[in-house]
Amino acid sequence: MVKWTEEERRIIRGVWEKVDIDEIGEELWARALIVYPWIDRYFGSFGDIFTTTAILKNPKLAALGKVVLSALDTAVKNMDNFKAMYAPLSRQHYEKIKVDPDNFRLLAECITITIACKLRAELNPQVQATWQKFLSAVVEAMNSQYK
Amino acid sequence: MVKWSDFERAAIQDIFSKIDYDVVGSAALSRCLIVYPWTQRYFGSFGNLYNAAAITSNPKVAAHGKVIMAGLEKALKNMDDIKTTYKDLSVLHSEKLQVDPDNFNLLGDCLTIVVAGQLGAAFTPEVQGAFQKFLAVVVASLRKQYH
Repeated sequence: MVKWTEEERRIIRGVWEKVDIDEIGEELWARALIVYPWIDRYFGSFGDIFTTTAILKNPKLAALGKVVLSALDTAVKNMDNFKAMYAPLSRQHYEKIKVDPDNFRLLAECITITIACKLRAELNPQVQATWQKFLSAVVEAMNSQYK
Repeated sequence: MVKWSDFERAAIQDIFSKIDYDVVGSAALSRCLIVYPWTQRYFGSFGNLYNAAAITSNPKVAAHGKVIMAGLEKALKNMDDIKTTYKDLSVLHSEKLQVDPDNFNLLGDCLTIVVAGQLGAAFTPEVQGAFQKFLAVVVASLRKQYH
């Protein structure tokens, strides 16, 4: 597991406190699907995701956004051992959903951009660096059960 | 040849009309040097880059940020042939500066985060999509003369 300084823990909690899971969750998948459209191959059962308008209004995507951020909440609350906690999630994405793990990085990027739009100047370079270190650890945890 | 929709052209022009050129280039370069510290290897002559505070207040970083923005503006003014516009710049980065072209993506990511922070809610998913497409074309053009 990654080692965290007290300062880094404080910064990550500080960012996370400002994240409204409902609000950010809604935007998250919209950004991913619009900016990286090949991701729609994983969303066959989500109904209409074929236009920007449809994507922005799709309730299943909004719901999935909240699922993702709830999982991230688990990581924030268990910064020293979330890798083990994420093993079943990683296995599910590998064996059942069959997600190309490159997409974890792209979704993480979309999370950071959504947060940047919300936090603006508060996501200063130091905060950005720490937050991205945290998301890299999350992405690594998601990759852990891939062979 | 890259095709731009009317929306994409308008969105990209709009972004550049709203962002502060004096701030954005320098902020993006600073973040790149802080978040991806190995990029500092290209800036040996820039003096003190030892910590985030030094980087963000370094006048050579600020000046170079403006050089980057001037380069982006050239692309903006020649959106239908960025590849040709950037030919010499690509040769410069490949042969003289010997920059690993993967780093273009890292700077692009930092630019996106800075623009997101500046525009806030106005940096919608579709606007993000257009901006990232523009940056992808810029990066591809910078890579073009590498062998």
